[in-house]
Amino acid sequence: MTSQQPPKAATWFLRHLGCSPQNEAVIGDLVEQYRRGHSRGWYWRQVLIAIVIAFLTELRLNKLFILCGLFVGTALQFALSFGMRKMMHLVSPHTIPIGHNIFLAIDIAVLFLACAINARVVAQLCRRHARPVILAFVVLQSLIMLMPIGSVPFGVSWIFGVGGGINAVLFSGFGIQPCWPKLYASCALWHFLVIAFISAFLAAITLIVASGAFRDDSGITDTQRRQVRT
Amino acid sequence: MTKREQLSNFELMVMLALIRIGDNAYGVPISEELEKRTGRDVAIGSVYAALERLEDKGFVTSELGEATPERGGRAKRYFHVTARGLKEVRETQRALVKLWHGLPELEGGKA
Repeated sequence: MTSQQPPKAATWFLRHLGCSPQNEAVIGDLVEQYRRGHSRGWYWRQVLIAIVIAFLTELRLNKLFILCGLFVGTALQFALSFGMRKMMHLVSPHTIPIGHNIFLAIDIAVLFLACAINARVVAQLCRRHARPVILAFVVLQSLIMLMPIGSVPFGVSWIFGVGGGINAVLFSGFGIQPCWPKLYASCALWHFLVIAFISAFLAAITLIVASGAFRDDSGITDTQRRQVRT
Repeated sequence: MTKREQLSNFELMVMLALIRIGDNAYGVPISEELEKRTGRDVAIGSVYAALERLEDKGFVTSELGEATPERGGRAKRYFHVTARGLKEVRETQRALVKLWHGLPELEGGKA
């Protein structure tokens, strides 16, 4: 026997992350089916499938548009990170050695600030498909961020090497990069992976929240949503 | 030769379910019909993804229905097969029957 109310958190996720122009109808159908006796596990599974499939469908239907969004996002991320770090480098006192913890902290702050500005700009530029573009950027950025910078110590494939190179260019400046050898030396691999996963997760949250594309839009009807798309 | 929009396996199943249900075709009855006829679990998300593609191809149209309390006050979206969609289903059927014809391995319902 299930309660009449479907899991609120699951509905919240679908409402905020669902890319389908028929998102409200999907939620309505799921609520109707849940109330006919389906389990909470079933509801969660349907929600996750609906989010992933709607995202993949949008990717397929708007390939070129989303690719342009990714290109703009990546270029902007590079420009913002590089510009901010260059500025920090100019104004920072020369007495603090590069690789010092304070640089690491500044670098992380700059990275998140760049993510936030970038997400906002990309969401505004790609207003018609803001959700799939930002989600695609989250996936791309997370993949890149999980590629260890200078992955040679792990002796992994060239794909990681390339990913690590992109990671170094996009996300690491004067603070993080010189710190990696210290991290490699002092951390076990699983430590490093935990740090990488946490930073990728936090960057993804920053992108999603700062973009403003994932606000509750339940007040907008599916028809209005479809009109925005066309 | 002009490029023709074609139906995938799942899209064809959704089209057939739509034709079978008629006027009352929205997400829930479509997925129930598919589950009943195929014996497989069908995710609502994948049904809507297929319907979106079909609408994009011009095989299906949709309209917003009434909001009901058992749906938490959300409106249903009803789907209808267009004349073009119906023609495409017929052509797919014709092509499949031609391909099926004269295959001894597939006759008698044995694998």
